[in-house]
Amino acid sequence: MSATNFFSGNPDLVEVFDRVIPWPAVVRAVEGVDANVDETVSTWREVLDVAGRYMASEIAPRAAEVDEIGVIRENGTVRMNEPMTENLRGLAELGLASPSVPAEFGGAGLPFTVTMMLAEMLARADLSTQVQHGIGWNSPAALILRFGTEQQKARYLPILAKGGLMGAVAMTEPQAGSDVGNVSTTATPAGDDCWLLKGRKQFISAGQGDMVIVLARCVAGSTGLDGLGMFIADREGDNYVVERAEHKFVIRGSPTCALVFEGTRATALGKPGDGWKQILTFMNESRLGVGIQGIGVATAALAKASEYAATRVQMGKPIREHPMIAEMLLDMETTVAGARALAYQAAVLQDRAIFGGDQAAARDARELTPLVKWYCTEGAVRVCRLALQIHGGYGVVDEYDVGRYMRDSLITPIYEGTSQIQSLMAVKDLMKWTMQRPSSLVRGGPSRLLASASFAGRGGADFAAARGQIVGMLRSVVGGLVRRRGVGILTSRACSASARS
Amino acid sequence: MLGERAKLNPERRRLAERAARTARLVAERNRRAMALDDGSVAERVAQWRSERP
Repeated sequence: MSATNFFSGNPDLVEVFDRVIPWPAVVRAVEGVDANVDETVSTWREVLDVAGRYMASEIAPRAAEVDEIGVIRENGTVRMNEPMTENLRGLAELGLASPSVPAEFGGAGLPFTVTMMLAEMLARADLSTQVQHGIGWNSPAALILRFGTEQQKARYLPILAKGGLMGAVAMTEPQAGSDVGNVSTTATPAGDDCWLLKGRKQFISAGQGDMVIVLARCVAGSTGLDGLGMFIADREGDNYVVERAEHKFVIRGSPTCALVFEGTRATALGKPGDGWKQILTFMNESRLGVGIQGIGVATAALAKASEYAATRVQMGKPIREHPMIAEMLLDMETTVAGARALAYQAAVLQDRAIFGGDQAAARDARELTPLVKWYCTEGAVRVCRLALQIHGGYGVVDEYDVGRYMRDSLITPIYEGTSQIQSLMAVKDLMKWTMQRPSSLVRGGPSRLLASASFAGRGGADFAAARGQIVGMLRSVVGGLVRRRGVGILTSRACSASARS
Repeated sequence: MLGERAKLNPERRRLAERAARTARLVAERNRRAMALDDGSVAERVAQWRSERP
């Protein structure tokens, strides 16, 4: 794995691009049926190659400095440090500030899959910069593109595409983390398409920027996930206050802010009252994005550990030739390759669902999203831990990068829904599908993706055995439910009630 | 998915086999853990619930 280009120097990522992604389907979904597949894919590949070179040669060498300086807090203001600003400036100059913004608004118009490959490489170079790029530029742009009025698109997208303005998405509140239905920030209509926001938001990545998209309760008396809406608030004129940036030991260069809204003027983004439904599309994508972050950090850790293990000689041979170290490296490689295979399968499904309106793809993407978030981020922590261990005492010395990878990896199983929330989501869906089609339990289980796969040889036997264990577990759980609640639990009404509980 | 990749590129077979073996070991361990559940988590949650003011 070469450190001079994070795309062409990463054979696994190149193989995914060249041999795994079903590009004709993606191009047709994103660009239309008449698009020239070869030409389009060749352009996307060139973008990745240029970006991979820039990220490896310019951004990765600045990562330690970004981390060491951290967030700048002076005179009551919060801002990014200079090397981080330089990183982002370079990305903007490459035309990659908000890669998913369509060309008609001045963006690169890249599909989700390619945007995620950029995100992986950037996370490998520096996770703090990737968070600022992804949340500060690309996420607000994606939401405005999807739900904005023509005026909102015209106002924000061209400037987000150029990197001339930075935004954020504010959902979390002090009392409402995973429990989104507990959001208490309010939006009150004030005439002329203006709404007034009141409340506090917490742990807002890239919250130091120029605008924010806020999830707020806009239907008086509503509770839970009903009655929410999304609103765009500009910061200009102290319209809202960046109260502070948290002091933290992960992604230290990225400001994680507390925001205060006191009569903040805002405009509605999408239909007030449909906020939950709308922001769910963002949450699915951002969860895949955090999974991809995990792959980026894990790739960085694997590369450093491989390099170190090849050159560090102990007992007369490089330590990678000691079987226990070799086992660790192989385990890391398998985890990263597996995570990457899983994540890009989900990314392609997301492209087909979002751009092509493919409902089967949407269902499969829904199945894979919590698994991607869980596996890629928990895997990242494990891979970074192993990389640290392979470095021995040097691993905890600041001048070696693996300590920073370890710290940064720790945020990925936490934000955008903890691993425990991902487990609940995955199990809930799996149970719902199982109870809707209990007959699947005598075949390969309710997951179409799992049930349809088969392989020859030893790997195939292990895969079939693993699937058998999973289906067996589901049988036990469903059997227990039927014994406790009766066969009626398998009807669709009982099933939805059970899935809610 | 690594298995699918190995069909395209036989060099990937060893990695796919390792992933499948890991998946099998994890699935077996989880199923065993579920079967051996002694109910202590549910008991502790019920206890905390009863202590809630």
